[in-house]
Amino acid sequence: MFLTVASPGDELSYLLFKHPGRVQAFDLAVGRAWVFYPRADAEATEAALLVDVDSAALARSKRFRVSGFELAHHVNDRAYAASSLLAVALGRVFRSAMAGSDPADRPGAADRPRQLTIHLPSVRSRGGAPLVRQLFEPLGWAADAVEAVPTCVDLRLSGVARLSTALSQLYVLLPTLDDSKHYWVAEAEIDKVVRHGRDWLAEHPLRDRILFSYLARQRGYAADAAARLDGAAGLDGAAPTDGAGRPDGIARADGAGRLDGIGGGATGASLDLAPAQVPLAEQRIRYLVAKLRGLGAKRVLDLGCGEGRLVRRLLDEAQFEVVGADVSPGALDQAGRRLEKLADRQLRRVSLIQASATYRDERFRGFDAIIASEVVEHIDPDRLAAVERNLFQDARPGRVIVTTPNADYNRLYGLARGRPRHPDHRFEWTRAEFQGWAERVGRLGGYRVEFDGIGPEDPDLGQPTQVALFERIDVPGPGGQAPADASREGGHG
Amino acid sequence: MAELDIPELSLVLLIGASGSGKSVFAERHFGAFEVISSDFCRGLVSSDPANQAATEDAFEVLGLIAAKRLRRGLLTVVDATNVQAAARRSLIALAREHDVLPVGLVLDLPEAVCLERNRDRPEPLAESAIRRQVKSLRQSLKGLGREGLRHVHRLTSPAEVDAASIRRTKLYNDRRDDLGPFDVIGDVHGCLDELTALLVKLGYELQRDDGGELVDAEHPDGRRAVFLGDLIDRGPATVGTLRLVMGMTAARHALAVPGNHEAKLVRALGRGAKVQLGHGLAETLAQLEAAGPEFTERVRAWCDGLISHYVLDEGRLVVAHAGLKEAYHGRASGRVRAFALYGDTTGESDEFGLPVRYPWAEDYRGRAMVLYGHTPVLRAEWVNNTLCLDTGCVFGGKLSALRYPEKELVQVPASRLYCEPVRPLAAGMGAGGADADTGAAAGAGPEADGGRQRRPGVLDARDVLGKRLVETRWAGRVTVQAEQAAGAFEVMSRFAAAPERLAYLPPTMAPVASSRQEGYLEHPLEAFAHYAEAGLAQVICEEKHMGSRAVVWLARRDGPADPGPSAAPGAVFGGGPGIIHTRTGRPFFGRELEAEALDRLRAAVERAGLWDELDADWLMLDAELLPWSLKAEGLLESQYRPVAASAAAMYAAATDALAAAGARGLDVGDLLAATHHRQANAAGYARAVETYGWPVDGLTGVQIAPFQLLATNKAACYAQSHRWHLELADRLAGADPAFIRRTRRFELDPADRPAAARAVAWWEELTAQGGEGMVVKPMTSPVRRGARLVQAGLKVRGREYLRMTYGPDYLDRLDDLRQRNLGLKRSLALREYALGLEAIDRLVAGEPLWRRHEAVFAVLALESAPTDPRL
Repeated sequence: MFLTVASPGDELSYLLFKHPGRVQAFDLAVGRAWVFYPRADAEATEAALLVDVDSAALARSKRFRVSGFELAHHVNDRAYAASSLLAVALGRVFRSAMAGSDPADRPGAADRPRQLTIHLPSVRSRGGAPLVRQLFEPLGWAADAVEAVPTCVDLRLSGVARLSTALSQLYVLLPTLDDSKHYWVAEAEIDKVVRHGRDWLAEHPLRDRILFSYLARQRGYAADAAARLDGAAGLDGAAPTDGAGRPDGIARADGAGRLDGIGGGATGASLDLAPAQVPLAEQRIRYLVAKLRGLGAKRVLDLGCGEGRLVRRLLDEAQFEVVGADVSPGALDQAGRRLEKLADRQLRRVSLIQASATYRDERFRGFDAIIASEVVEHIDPDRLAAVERNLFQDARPGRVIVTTPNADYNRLYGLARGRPRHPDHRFEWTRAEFQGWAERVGRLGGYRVEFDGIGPEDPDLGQPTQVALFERIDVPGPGGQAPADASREGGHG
Repeated sequence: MAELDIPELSLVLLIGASGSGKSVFAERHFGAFEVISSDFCRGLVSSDPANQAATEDAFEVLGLIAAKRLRRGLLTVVDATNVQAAARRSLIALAREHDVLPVGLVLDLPEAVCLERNRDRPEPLAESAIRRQVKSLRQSLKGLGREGLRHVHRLTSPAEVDAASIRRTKLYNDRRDDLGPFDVIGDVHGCLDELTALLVKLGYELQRDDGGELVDAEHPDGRRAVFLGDLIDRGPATVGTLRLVMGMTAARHALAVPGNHEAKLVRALGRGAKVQLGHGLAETLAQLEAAGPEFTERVRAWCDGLISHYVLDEGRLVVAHAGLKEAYHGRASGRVRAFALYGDTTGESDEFGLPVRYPWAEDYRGRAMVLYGHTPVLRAEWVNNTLCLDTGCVFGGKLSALRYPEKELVQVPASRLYCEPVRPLAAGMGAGGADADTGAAAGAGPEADGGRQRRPGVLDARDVLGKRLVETRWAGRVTVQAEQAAGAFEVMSRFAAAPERLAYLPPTMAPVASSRQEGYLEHPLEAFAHYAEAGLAQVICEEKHMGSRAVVWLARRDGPADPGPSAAPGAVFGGGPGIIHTRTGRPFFGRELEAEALDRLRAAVERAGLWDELDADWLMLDAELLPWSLKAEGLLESQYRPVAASAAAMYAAATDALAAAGARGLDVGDLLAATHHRQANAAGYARAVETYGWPVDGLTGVQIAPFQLLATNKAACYAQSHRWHLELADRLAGADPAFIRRTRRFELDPADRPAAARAVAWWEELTAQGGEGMVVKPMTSPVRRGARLVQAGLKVRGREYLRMTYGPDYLDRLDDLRQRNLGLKRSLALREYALGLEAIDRLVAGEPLWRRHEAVFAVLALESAPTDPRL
């Protein structure tokens, strides 16, 4: 990792507390750092910090461990790109400068804003150059950011600032850009970010995003830090820098909402945020609970229960006995955690099982209703036949309720034709396709089918979620015949 | 001296008062684990064998142990007083539940003897209790047979007890020592002409009596016919058929099991029973009447004496008229007999008024082959190692026989339709057969066996979940832990191709032992040493293409294809040309591009003349698909390129700055040199990364490098020499050089030092040109050294290539890296190799889908274990 700081005149080396005529080395937990001066004369001074990260030591470090044995764990850009590792090195090597200490013979120097040029040839930025600009420009920097590859940015900052503030900003913003920390974030980090951000963070338009990322996505910590930053500003009376006197509370009324948006935005949360107030996923749950209640279903299997939201809600109604089935052990773990705090009486009505709709399973038998909500679209078309067979011919519950996205509606989400709402969707059916499928499956399995929808209705495109309600057609057999007799007397062979 | 007969598989109830000597008797005549005593169970649950308060718990444990043993088919003796009817009733129920015969062994000794022995005990029971027991026993004696005990042996004096011995008798259905060979024949229904034609076709010599009637048929090689029942009714010549088959069984040239029609005939000919005379029975009775009372009585006795099923050939073959589920093999009970005669009925009827039968064969997971008839089908079709041989001769279909153990079907067509079927024979059957694997999507209506489709390809969660032991030919039993199975279950369900299209997954490959050569982590010499030590005279070095592992299963022509010579025909390829999938079972391409790639391969195979030469309808290739970036683009984007870019940017700035500082007179010499070195390492890394990716457009730019022909529908080919495999691959490459890439190779004796030096030079040159490295393989695999399988290949990766896996600076810390632990990876490679071969063997042998899937699934499950990804 590498960084240079340049400033006109010769005062920089004093502020950094590092002699311009020497190459100084420092031992760090993650490797070794050197400070040297490529330039130091009366006109200008440029200081360089070179950090040689010991990748092997880093890989061995438990704190840095991502998960078990990922290759990324062994070969990564940690040694090269500026990240939390560089932030920590800055804090170690330039501790006094960052604290704003005056050099012994130059009182007041540290407090004086000065022209600074900071060069980081390689910054890891999950949001590329735009994010870099969004983070630094509101602080008054001219940020010249060039992407080598989308996540690797060459950054040159220039502006007028106190050196200590500039270093503090790097200290907080480098980990934010990278959005990952090489060490475990504990509550002490709240103190750190409040301390380093006191002068500038409270007013940053992306303050909440910065706190959320810096504090390793722990909402509680982020909220705590935000409150403390606000408090710090309040104690000082007027806002510390621009003096606009804007009441903080009002300016950030949307703070919590923004935190949400940042958290999952990039990682493929589905486009379920319908125009309505209630998210579509929640509408589906309400619909299904009401439907099952109306049907008088007792034993319900939620096939593809995921993290168990529907299961959890069904347990609030005493009539249901619920089995949640999912193919993912990870999802089942989370579903299990969701149920942990339930009363024993509720727990007695629920069980979670690992199961797949593509494998026949005797545990699917004997239910009043099987729910497959937002499941079929995650199954490859060539495996649907097995699912149909296992549900409609083998398990044969009284009812089957299938929900799936309505592809017709996707236009209202601004999705290009054929683009699915979620990257894992193997297909999305139009209403005609879905109804054709459901009717065929129902006919083969001996089920009546009706169609319904969930979510706001468009006159032409229908509702975002389409629903098929299957009801088994029970043919009363020729009564009273004992099985053995039937076979003896009626045997074909 | 009394010899007491006890069926080999039975639940023996010792019955007698305390002091009658049950335990001593049991110890003398039965094995230690065969006897479960109530006293012992009281001890287990309460630490006191005499604790009467623990009786209820003790009997619960006793019942559980007995149930487990019976389920495993083990004789079990219950050593308890069993003098109360209630106690016996629950044990008899237990025997029935497991379809074994309950046997009573009564020690009915004089009360005085019991009392005297009781007095000698360290903790005698109250005498009143013993008197009560003796009294209960006496009261029970008369009714024991009616309680359901099949045999009751009673010993009444100490002398008799001493003199008694036990003889274990085989069940009638147990013919495991009869090894065949057999010709198993489906439902004849009085079609004597077809039967004789079939017997002749099978090679039997017919014998007639003086009146010209057929009375026997004998095979010159000593083969025997096995008749699956329903010899009679509906057809024109019931009497003649019976005469012939009865003659054959009498002469020991045939075995026969009864069908439901024979069972009904026995009832019709018996006294008093009233049966409906439908389904051809009236005609049969008329024919018998014409044949005379003596013949009729012989028929009745013969039919009545037939055993409902047989277990043959060391348990490898089971025959029963309507089939038999595994739990009933070799068992004896009313319901076993009912199943064998009538099948598994659900109690419902279909729209023709015929009973709906549960498709037990779909659930069948047994190792024994089950042959049966009963339900007429258009085509004899394997379902999970079971085969229905009733091909509806009397309805104008065929009379079928299966040669066992050859598994060869021999058929003669019916000369005419003798009887109109109640349900149209063709209804749905063809559809169910042809599309067995696609099931409901393509299937039409109900099928012959009871309104459900016949689905040989149904996989059950129980086939894969939980801890499993997979038997392999090459490495014995391979264990799959439950959590590995759970992980693979998700991957298999969510991402892999449909199981019927996924017949094989390649094993992981172990790297060569870390090299001690200066400057190398991996070096060919260690691989040669490894194989020389294993005693191999010849190895082959194969160029390792830097792509992604790909398995190609290619059909000669579109449409349904058989997975193997004797398996159920099914739409293995979904009606398409085949599949190209990754090592985790994901299809490489979308359907269209896949079809295009397969078409191209198919054409190449055609041009190379391999279809005819191999006489193949499909073939399966192990291959490498290039470029690597095709599958790994995401990884390149998120992982490899950022590392290269940030290293380049950082070192460029750092070296400039250091140079400037040096120019100012600062002492940066060592630091600058070190930084330059790191910069060069990073550049090497960047070069390696960019070597293996290039843009593709559709198939343009895509190449495939096959290196092994795993199997064709005719045979597994994996054991051919690698020279053979590569020559075949060369011919494919020759047929389409733009698409199919040749694999360079170097053969040598691993112990030959000069040859090894030349091979090292060859490898150096290969990797200097940017090659990933090579794989050193035994010329022919699998090969064992002692009992252990030898690694099928060791990869030796190039020095520069390894920067990608171990980081740009890995050469600076070789000493650390040489400590890498290869043990787990190697063991994994061997187990996965054996499982992969097992999957191929099962495929080619035409084993049921669940068996094939078991082996494939196990490979994926083992891959879910965390291992160092750099190996």
